[in-house]
Amino acid sequence: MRRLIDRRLLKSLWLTVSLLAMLAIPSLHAQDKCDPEVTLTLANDEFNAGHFYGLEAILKPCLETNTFTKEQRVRAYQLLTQTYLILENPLAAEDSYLKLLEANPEYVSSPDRDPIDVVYLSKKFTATPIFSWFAHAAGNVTMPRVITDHNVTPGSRQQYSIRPRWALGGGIIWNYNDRLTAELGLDFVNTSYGYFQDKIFTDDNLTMTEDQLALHMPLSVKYTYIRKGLSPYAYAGLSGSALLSANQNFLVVDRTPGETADEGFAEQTTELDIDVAFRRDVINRAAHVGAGFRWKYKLDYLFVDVRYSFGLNNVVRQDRLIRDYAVVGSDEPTFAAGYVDDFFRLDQAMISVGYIKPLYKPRKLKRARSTRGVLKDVKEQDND
Amino acid sequence: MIKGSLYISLMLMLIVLLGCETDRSVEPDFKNYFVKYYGAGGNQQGVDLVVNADGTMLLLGNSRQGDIQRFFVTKIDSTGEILSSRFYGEAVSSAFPEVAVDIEPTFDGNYVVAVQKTIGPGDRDAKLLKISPDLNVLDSVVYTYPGDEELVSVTPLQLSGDGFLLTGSTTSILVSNPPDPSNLTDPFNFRLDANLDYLGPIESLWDVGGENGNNDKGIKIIEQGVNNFTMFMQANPQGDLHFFKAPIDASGNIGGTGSFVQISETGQSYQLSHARVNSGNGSVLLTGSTASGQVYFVVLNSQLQTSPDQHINRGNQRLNLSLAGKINGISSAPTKSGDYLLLANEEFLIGTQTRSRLVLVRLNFLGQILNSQVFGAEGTYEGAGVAELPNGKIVIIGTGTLGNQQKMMLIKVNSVGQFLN
Repeated sequence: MRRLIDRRLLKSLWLTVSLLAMLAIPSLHAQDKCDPEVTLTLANDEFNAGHFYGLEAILKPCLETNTFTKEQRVRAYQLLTQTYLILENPLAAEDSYLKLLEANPEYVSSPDRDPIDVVYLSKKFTATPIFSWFAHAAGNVTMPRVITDHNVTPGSRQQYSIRPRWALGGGIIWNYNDRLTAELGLDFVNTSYGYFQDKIFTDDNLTMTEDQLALHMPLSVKYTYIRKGLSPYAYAGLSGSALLSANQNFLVVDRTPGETADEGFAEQTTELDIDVAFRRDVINRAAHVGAGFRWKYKLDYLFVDVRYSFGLNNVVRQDRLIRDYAVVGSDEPTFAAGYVDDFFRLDQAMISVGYIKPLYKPRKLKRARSTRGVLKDVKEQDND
Repeated sequence: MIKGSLYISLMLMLIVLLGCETDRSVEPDFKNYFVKYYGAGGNQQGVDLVVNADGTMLLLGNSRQGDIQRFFVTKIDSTGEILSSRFYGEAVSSAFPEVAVDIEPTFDGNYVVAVQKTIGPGDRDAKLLKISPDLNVLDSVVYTYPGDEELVSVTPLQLSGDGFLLTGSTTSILVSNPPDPSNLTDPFNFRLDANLDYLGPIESLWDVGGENGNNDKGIKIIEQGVNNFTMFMQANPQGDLHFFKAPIDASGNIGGTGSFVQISETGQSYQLSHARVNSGNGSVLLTGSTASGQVYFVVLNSQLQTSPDQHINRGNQRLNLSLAGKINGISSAPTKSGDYLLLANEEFLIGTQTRSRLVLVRLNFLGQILNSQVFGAEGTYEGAGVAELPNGKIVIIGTGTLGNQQKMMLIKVNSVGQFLN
């Protein structure tokens, strides 16, 4: 009886070890067999020798274990695509080509390098990203464009000045195709401008600076002229913005001339700060044009961009031009500093540097190009 | 999903693009209401204004630049833009500085400015300056008179032949007969013809049975009929200052004993600042303050009945404006709708410093408060005059602190005193 049990135990143990060995061996075999370059050389040799049926088995271990580098995966799927086309297995060929594009979204088949049937097949696919995202940092200057001029001290002279500030933002790009894109951004923008009024009662002057924080949401349609290296682009669009804060600082200088020219002027100054967000429209809109260059950086892009934004609406609330009846002291700039906002739109010039991350999506085209179109392309490339 | 959102965003953007704002689509608000300062270097004070039928205005102000004291008139359009401006008086430091106190339109289309001219320490005289609509000087005369004359107002005459009546207060002993050392000031009136030639005063004018007090001042003389005038004044015959009226004949004589009639209610002291005829119904608006710091406002009917229970605004003479400071009634004006505009200054303390703000009140025909607005910032902001424009908007002339200096200030607001259309 005891001997029977021992024999049964030994048998079970043997079966378990055998099962584990069977499971482990293929993996060990695969790892052993997946020397990427050797495997690819072997696969090429087999392909050239016309041994198409064994190619998948040769390449599969390396593909499944991700042993190949990206470039080696491309070569492997090139071979598989050609092989399946020869074996008249179009579904497998398409699947291999898709995986090729996943390995290298920018892979473009060429009649010089690839068989013509692969070139035809390639025209059924694209890896062009549908969406990309971008981020940028910018410097900006803001310029009020006066609609109607308001002057508390008739006879004085006024002028606006620019004050450089910054912006940070990002957004999403919808790629209609390689050249035409629509972009929706969201920027956190710090802007500022200055206002100087002199000849106030001959010798006095007033300096005002306004600082704003806002969220801008530009929507643009962009055309890119694709070239190797630098690709220039231009765009136009509209943007909405939400004002987060607005503050004004005033410096009034009363200058009294001395009895003689040698005495110069006696100066007295008055300063005041006021939150003027109540006097600004919260939602503002603008139209913009811009241009720039983008550089290819690996699979992504770097860009330098210049944009000019034309304010479309008067940013000053007309019902709160002098006073907000809910805010005590809101009319202090008018009474104490002799200042009332002009009605104006805010223009803005922005220069930015940024990064574009395409979200490549290899896929089969819903409408593949015609044979005639492909041939035309091939001929053009030949002529080139 | 995202693509759809982009399309929707694009459509929304196109819609808002249609709303591009230009000077054609934006209301010219700052022409409809504004705050503007006028003057020159140094300090200026707004004194009075005249509103012409065409909406243009003449603003009268005083200016001090160092030791140079002058006055000026600025003509503006209804939007506050300067049409012309001119300073009067010597542009150098003068021992005889001139301070303007009143400007009135004359019936020949010109304007007359009442000016206080200092002759020496404690000796001021009255001066009258006649100017054309383009601010050129047509004539001017100084009325040298013994004692110190504080000039308050000028009244152009129409029914009694062209001419003018000046009033104010004087320390001249000649107007007390016999001279009374306890008498500090008496009202005076000067009657002038169209050429500014001097026709009066009558020296015994105020010796009417000792009815007047010892601290009396004429505020305004109104012309009720041909050679029929009434002087409104403040006087203290029984100690407290009160609003008074007294009839004046063609020669400047008071009507006789009992001619001085008290207008304000008994019980406390009142100071009269301004008197004005409502040309629409012949009523008279008297603006002043109580000693306790309230506005005291009286509307007399066209018969000038003085008893408090005969006042048109009986029961509402004292205005409770619910402001913390001391309120001084400064000026008032009738409106086309029958309401009254009342201008006051509120004095209050910030720390140890006295500040002031303007208060504009609209009262109905019975003197009940319809609305009120306060104007000014930290500093001194004082009103001097108020008027209704032909389009129903309101203008206030006064003085504001701009930076560290005082400037003549003009405020234009809508009919309820707001910076809104």
